[in-house]
Amino acid sequence: MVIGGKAVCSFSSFWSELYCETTDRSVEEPATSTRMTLGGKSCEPMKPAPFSYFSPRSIGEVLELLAQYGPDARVLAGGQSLVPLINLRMARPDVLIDLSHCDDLKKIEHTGSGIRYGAMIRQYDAQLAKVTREHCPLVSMALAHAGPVAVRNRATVGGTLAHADRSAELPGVAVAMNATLVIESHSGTREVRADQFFRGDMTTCIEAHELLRSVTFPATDHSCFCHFLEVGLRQEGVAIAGIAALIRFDDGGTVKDPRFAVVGVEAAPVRLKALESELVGRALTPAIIAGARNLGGQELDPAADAHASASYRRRLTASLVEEALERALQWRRHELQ
Amino acid sequence: MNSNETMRIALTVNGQRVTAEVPARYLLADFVRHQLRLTGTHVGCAHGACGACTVLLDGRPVRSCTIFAVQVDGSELQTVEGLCREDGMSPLQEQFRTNHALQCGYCTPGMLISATALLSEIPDPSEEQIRRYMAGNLCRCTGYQPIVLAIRAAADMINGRSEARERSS
Amino acid sequence: MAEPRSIYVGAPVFRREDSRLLLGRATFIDDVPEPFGTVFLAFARSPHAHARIKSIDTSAAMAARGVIAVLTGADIAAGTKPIVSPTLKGEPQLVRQNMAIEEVRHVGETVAVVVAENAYLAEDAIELVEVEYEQLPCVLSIADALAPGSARVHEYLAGNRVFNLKYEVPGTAEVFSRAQHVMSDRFSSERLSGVAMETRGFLTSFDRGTNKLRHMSTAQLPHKMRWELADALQLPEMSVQVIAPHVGGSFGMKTVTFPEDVVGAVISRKLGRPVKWIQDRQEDLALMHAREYRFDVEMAFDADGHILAVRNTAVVNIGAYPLWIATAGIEAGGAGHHMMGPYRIKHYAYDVSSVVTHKAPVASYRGVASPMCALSTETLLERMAARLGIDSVEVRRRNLLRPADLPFVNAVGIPHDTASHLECLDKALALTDYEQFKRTRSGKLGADGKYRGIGIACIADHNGQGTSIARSRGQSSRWPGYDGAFIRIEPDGKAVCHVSLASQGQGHQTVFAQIIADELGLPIEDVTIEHSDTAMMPFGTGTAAARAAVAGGGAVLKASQRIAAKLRRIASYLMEASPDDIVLANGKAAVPGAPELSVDIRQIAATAYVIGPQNLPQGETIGLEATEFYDPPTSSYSNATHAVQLAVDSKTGQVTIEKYVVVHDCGKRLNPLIVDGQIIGGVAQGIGSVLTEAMRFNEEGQPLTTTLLDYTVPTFLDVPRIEVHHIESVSTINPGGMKGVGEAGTIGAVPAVVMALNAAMVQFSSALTALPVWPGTLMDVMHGKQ
Repeated sequence: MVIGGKAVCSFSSFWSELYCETTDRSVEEPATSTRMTLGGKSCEPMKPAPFSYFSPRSIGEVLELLAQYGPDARVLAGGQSLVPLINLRMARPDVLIDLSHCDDLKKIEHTGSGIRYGAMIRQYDAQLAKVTREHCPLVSMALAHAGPVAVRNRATVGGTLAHADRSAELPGVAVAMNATLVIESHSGTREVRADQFFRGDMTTCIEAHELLRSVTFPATDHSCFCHFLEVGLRQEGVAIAGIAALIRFDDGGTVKDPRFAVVGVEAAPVRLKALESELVGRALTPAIIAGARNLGGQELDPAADAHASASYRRRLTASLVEEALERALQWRRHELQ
Repeated sequence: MNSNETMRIALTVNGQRVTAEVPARYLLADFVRHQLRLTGTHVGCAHGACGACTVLLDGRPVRSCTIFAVQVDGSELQTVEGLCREDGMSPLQEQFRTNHALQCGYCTPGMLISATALLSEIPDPSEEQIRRYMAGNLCRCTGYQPIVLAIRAAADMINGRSEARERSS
Repeated sequence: MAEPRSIYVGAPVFRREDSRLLLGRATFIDDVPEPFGTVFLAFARSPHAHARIKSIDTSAAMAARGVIAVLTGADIAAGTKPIVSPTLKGEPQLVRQNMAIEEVRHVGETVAVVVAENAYLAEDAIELVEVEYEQLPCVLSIADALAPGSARVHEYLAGNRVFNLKYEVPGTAEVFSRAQHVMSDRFSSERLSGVAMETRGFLTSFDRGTNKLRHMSTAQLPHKMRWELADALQLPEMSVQVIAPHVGGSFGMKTVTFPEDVVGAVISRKLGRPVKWIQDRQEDLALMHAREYRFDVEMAFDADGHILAVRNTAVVNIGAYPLWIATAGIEAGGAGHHMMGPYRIKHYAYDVSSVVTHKAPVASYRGVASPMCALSTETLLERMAARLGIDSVEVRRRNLLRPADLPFVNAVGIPHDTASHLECLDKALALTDYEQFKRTRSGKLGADGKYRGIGIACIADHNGQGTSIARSRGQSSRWPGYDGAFIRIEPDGKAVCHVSLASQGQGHQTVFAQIIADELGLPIEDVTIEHSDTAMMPFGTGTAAARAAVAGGGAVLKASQRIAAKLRRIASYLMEASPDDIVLANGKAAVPGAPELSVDIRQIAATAYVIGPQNLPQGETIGLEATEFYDPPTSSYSNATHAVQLAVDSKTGQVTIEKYVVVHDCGKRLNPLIVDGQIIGGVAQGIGSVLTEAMRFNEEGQPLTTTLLDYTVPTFLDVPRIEVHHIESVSTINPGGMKGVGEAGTIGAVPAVVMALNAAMVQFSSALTALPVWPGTLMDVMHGKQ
């Protein structure tokens, strides 16, 4: 979830890596600090610190800038996570590379097996696009939770994946669906699967000189049950826990290829693999669902922070699993009618 | 553009053409308020969490504290000052008034902009839809209820369905 | 004498202030055009809850671009007086510097200030100030503060208790020792933050020629800020002008003259330039706190459920310093004074204290101690009912003040003159189908997996206090208790009124105009209310503690009546009619039934100012002006019953409020729209206090919830539709018959929501006594771990 729903506090609890998109960048920390330590971490007064600004028109230009400035630069996508951090002076790039004029990044395309979203597709546009609703409904469902409309109007598909906030929705969907992310640099292109992409809270495998170019979600058809649900402290806001679920049924009504990814509970989205194995080949009954609920809760190692305890997150996960399966059962019954 | 330089931007603000020189880090909210002196848009948090700074950028509601002024070159911007009609307040503004949908008024411009966007996306919204769409705009004074009623009444007015209930003024 | 016709008072008049707010033309502090030469401040703040300042190096900051000056605590102390507050009897006074000099006592305490050409450059430079700290152990909780041997927040004091007030109605202890039934429990709340949508700030300007300070600021109490700035800067009061522009909400938090205001003023004096500072939201959340309480409440009752006695031993955590002289006592005093609520309680005792800790200093937030008082009372009443096997509504009935009891002087000596406790209760029960819901659905798990509950709370809201009550509560006599209104009808016949009460959204420009328009017979468009400029407003107490309608309304009424009398006298002279026969209405003074006997008020005004051919009647003074003060002789009590139906999701612990009804009595409602707005807004904040808000700290005293994503105030999806119904038990204390309404929504919402939660969770023996109640807490209750 982008900054419209971001718990800055969670930065504090998980500030083992300093805030960065790559694994090797660091934020300078003077020896004697006058900054008021807020959120458990030194926090500057507001308003952005100075930076140099570039507004390239093509991916090639972006990559050249990244090659040149790499560790000192940040890529600006939707800005709904990054700009608040810049305003809080928790992020202080020397160079900001604004992607908003890169038309190359603004396409939604059918590929052989899936739908490819350019990194700069606005979340609201992705959510409402016909192709999403028809071929990747889970993306649409998840984005509906990704903050208020004003945030979704600016936040991007690529930005939320690259930012990798642990409570964000789309990373959960990407992991559940085994999405493929394309990362480019001056030296070439690489494709990374979602489960390799997310490394921890706000940590991905993108290197300093690299750009996330697109993400491809496999298409799902109407035979696949899709579901996204999250729970927070309020009816609107940051998720304490969320689940992205896909379940296919075979003709006999047993589960095949179930996928559950949970966000907000561990440092990165996590698949409930034990649960998935347990459900394969079984029909969904209340007894199975009750058992699945417990398994779903146990599989994880939930985090605790100022907003929720580990045990609450565990219980929530169990409830989210149960809810997902109950809805799947209802959906299956409805489909059969 | 390095941090000491400024960049020239040209855009339309409330229907008027505007050009300006802005440094890179100048937030759109600050540009609108302090350079254009359109102080109707308010800053409540500067981290995109309260909605007080909401403006319409190319027709879409966005949080101006999360955007830099340099990014809006070539765009159309509408602020609360651009909402009223030549002959008076817009239906939304009128209904906010008659429904006591504001007390201190600080969140109100953001509310009006978001509500304007809501009604253009969903011309006949249910109460549930209103609350969900507007949930990103925080208010501490009104308890939200009169704002919901005002938006609902404005929808009726705009759709010509019924006259707003006449009350004494 | 002919009574004025009520056209405006009591009617839902739309607000005069709205059009500029809606059009984006209203001026808040950050909108005020900055005079040429204005400089901007940024504050360096302590990152530690408790530390000694070993050194401060400002050289790098001084050399930064656009920086004019960098000052530290010693510089500020050279130009100002520190705040000195009384502590316990026999103990030294507590000194708070306007900027820390040797020691910092809470995260966020200021240690240095940068003065720069613009706000961005000031922020850049503040990061270059190098401060060396030696961290010291910190005391954070009430328990820590009181524990023997714990660190003292102020070493020259004997301990951490800085305020204590005791009171006992004679015989209370005996009643407790003899009582058949005593219920008691500890009730506590974590800190809240007021979160007005506008943070605070100022634009201040000292004129070194005239030695005068003009301080524009988000002051809720402009006169109080004026005398405190004058005191701090050692200026005569008449040399200080405080002006509050539009203020974006306050809820009591901006009643304080914060150190930053003093620092800004003294810098302006030093540099001879206007100085501006706008607090950012992180500073706001880290610093603006209230309501950290621990109440040990006991209730003694007889076998029929009558309350025999109440005892409250309360401790308030006020943070590192009292913010102004009375802060040490305001919340604690409220805990003592407001336990009676709407109940007939003869024996009462309290022992209330404030402790200092290494947290930010608190201010008084809407409702102050009353929500917690009401929570304690309602909780213990319900437990008592359960123990005795009497229905909890019936127990309330047996204890609520009845019409026959009134007027009733309560155990702290404040009279209830008129009230409608039982009527409100009955109506709320009927509107929510309470009995039916209680019997069939409350406490049960629904098919949707939710436990539902219905809860009620009966409250009395103490408001509209004057000088005598303020003094009896131990509040400083420097904060008076009366309020004033100056009204002038201008030579052109239109009226202007300056009131001593500022507005932060309460609609004073409308409500007071309604009173004046009715009394003077003017159309409301011809009446303008001004407020918030100490150069123009009469001296007074100001808007706080739900007193504006009563105290301000009373002053406005008195002043209007004086001018009305003069209008009639002059009219009678002009028309040769008796003043008693003259009615002021529609912009005229006329004798009903005699159409030729009518004169425009505009003409009366011309006469009064000796404009035109007429002379003034003999003995009359020139002009049409009156200044009147009104000091409510005693406080008023409004009353209400709140009834809440809610659902707790058994899978997630999330709470959905499904029905909310308030039956409310605040006497004569001057403007029903505004009254409802205050109630609904207050309820929303009460809901937040219980379900969504807490200021969290880590073990080192760091505030953790310092963004609006972490500190979660209720949104559109968290506040349900709130039905408000009214009864009007007109006050006999003030001539207008009004009672206050600003806080009652919050006071009733807190206990009502908790009672409903207890009802929903009844099979788990829910006994919620600590606020807030998170979904995780409810899950623990449901899983047997309270």
